[in-house]
Amino acid sequence: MPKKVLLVDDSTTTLMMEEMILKQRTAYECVTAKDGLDAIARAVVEAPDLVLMDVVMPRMNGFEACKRMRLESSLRETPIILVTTRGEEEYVEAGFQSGCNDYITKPIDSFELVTLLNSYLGE
Amino acid sequence: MSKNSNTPAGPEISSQVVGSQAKVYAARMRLQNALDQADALDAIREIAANLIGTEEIAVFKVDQKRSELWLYWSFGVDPNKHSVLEVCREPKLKQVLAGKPVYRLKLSNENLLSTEDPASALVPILVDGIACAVIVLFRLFPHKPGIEPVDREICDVLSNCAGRAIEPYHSR
Amino acid sequence: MAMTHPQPRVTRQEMEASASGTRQRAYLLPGQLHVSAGPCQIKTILGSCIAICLWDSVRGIGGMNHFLLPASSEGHPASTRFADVATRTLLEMLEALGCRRPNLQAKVFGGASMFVSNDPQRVTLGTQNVGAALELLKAAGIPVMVQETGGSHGRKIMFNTDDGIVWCQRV
Repeated sequence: MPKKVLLVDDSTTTLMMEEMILKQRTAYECVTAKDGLDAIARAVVEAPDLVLMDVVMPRMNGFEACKRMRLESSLRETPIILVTTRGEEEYVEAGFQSGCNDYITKPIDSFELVTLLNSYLGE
Repeated sequence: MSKNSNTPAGPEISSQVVGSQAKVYAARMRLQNALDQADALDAIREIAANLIGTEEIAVFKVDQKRSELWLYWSFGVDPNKHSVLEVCREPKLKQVLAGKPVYRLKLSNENLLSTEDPASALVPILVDGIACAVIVLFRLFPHKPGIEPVDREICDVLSNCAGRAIEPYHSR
Repeated sequence: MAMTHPQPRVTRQEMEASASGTRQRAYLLPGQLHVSAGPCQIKTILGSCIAICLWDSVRGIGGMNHFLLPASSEGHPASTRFADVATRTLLEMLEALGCRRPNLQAKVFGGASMFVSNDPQRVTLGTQNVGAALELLKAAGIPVMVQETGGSHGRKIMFNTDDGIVWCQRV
């Protein structure tokens, strides 16, 4: 069964790009969510093998969603990678404190994205 | 192992190509599917922030005499600093109004405009082949070293598909 | 004199005076590196990435890089986001400031593997990054004085370029 990746971003442009890269370069199944609240609901139902999540989103940001996912027993061990335009110290530190495993910065480089995901998913 | 240009692309090359194609495709689809003018302007912001790497953007409309450009919409920059650009004082704009984008070269400190905020790219918005407006991309993200080849492809998409952003009833 | 790469649009690396007023500060994003001949505290935060701190003990000059991936590859533009380019560039920038390779010592941080794997044979990106860093330093003939790598947590690194002291804090 293919590994499942939950892509979370309020930008349809980013979701389209990430999905296209992963579909062409990997065998992962992609599911998407458009904000933090939506992401938690989708993650509980879909049980993804990895979450790739934007930080700045409406309704609930990536930090808060990350914290709440860690409270769900089914998601406690799921790798979460935050995607941020702001690589500044306080943002990155807040990301790790919210329970993320790693971070990458926008604009996303396809080679880096695929290498990082393959590493976490053991491909 | 020898290297030559006829060698089939390896997996890493493909990865780069796929990444570029994905960005260009996403930009085009986002602009073509924009619901209305406001959504088209938001699409420009999304593309600039997520695919190119800047959160400082402005759109200037060309006046009828084509001698001045007036600020029409901006994001992340002080609109009071950028209300008007005079073509006679901005030599790079002549090329842009002729339909060709202008980019600041990597490792260059040159500012494309006389503005206080440094401009990284000037992209004409073409409607029926005529530059009716110009998108100015100001500072790139600190981790972004400069405008790259894929960014130029994305700017071409902006140039050709962003007409709706400046013309509310533009039907394309 | 301080230099940051990528140059010259470095950076919103905010170079501010420190609390004491004598040491500048720089913050590194993934793919950036910074060297300074004057007293400077360089900070960064790492997950599976690596930071190599190089310090010339004779001249009291140092620099740090922050790379994401173990090796550049054919077809991918050379970039300081890769171990080899980042480390070579860091060395070149230090040598341009007058550092001599025999006087350099290294401290290596990061390379976490933050997930639970059922496969003990699996080599994670963090592990590959650590391997790449150690190989490159060995090839350059630079001794590794401190290595704080692996594990399953992020790290915040603060490196004083003048006295060579590094703080490594779990985040």
